[in-house]
Amino acid sequence: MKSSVLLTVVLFLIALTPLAGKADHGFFPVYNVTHLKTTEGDVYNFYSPGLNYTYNSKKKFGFFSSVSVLWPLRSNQNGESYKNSDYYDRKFGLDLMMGAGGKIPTSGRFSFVTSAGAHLNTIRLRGRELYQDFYNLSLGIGLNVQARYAFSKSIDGTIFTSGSWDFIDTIHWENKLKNGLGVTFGLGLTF
Amino acid sequence: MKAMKSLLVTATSILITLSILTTCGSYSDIAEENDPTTPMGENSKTYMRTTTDGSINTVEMVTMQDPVNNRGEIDIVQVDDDTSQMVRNVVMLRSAYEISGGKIILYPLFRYDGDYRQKNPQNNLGATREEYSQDFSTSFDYADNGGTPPTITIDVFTYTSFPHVLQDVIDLGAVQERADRMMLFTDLSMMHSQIKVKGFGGMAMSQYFGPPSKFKGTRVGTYDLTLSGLSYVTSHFDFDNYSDYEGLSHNGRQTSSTGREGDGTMSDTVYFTAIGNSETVQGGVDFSPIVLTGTVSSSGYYRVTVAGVPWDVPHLTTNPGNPGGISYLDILTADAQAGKLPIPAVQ
Repeated sequence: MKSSVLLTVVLFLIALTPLAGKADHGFFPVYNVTHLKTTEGDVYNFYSPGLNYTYNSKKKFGFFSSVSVLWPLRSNQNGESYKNSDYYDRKFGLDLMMGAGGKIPTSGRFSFVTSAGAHLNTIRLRGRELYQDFYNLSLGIGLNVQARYAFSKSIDGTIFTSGSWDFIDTIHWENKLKNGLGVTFGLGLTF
Repeated sequence: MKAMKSLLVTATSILITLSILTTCGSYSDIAEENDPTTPMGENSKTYMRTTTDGSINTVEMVTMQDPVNNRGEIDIVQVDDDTSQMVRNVVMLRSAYEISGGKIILYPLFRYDGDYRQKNPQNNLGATREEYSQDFSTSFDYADNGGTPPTITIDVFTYTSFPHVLQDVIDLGAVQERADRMMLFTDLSMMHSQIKVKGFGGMAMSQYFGPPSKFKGTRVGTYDLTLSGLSYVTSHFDFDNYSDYEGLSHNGRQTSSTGREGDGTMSDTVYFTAIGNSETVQGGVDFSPIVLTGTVSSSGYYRVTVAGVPWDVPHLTTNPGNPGGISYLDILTADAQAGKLPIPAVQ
């Protein structure tokens, strides 16, 4: 647990670091689906609501980062569904993207922001007394698209969508990650 | 420029974090139990045999659930000391069984594998567990021979009732002889309990950090495993009426505190109750004087108390293939060959 708290704190601090510069800051309730397939053929799906913070440089093309803190409430392995709270007392996930992106202005109040970059996904389920923990920590690439509607000069209503493909397993020695796919949807405000 | 700086800081931090967290074995299943085996109950019987083959000494413990309609579960634990390689391998096979027409048919359920040798846990996967498919089975000749001491035969191997072996240890006159052997049997239980921990002896064990994880005795009882610490890891095994073998149960705590390379110390006391076929004796093993190097004992001694009488058993007694040549499987196989204990000897 200490490590996941540490990871969260570190990553949040990192995500907030660019606040010093001129940027758009988006805050979104999100829903994430993470799909993992292992080299031995196990297939996992995790369904997680969460909260997201997104940073976009105000430059035409600049730095982008996005951090989603997730609560994996349900999961599915090889077709069998599980309510995670029946087996795990702590449920935690983090979906992080960093890269670069730019704003595509359209007519009127609408605009699009597209970004691409490196992606990190981690899910940790801490088992109840009789159950094993579950860990995932994978790396890959991701794409983020935001559709914005300007309510005012400084506030945009934003639809947030991102997709990712992970192919690097950082923590498993056997039955490793073959590939991982992630989709996140959110609706919120950008300042 | 500022964005580039942030990107660099972020990437570096992630790499540091990843290096700290690079600790897992394989993906666990969702809702996977720590120990999926079912306790066999008080009525289960344990039998024992030893063999020696060149540099390899072996002890086998077989625990059978009291059969219902000739069916039940069976637990076979094989401990091999390879004295030439300085390694001890421990394998546990849990199967369902069916006795029919002089045969025992085994339907393997799980296999646990672990080893004890001087090693750096950071470079090791640790103990593993494999689940068998439901449609696999194998059969052997089987006979319940009865007699005194009671024996069973599986395939061509004969096993003696473990409580009778315990009784003969209780009856040994010399304090040292009793202490040595009770230390060895306690160590057998400890190893049996430890290989049930997926990742034991390797970095994958880090999944047990946090609140206690519960594991089950093969027959009855439980133990809680608790890990704490980051660079210096302390593991507690808290036994509660834990029994893998008929006639032998444990309470108390075994603690080890080691750095990431497996060097450190042990502490606390595991108590035992040994119920022979006609006598019961109680005692304990104090692990405090033991020093660990590369996860195995490298100096010190075990303070073993049997029926209130203490004796210091040198750490070498439990080392696989130790240079002193007195590995405990040596002691047991020698006991068997000398007829000191009623353990079937070389087949």
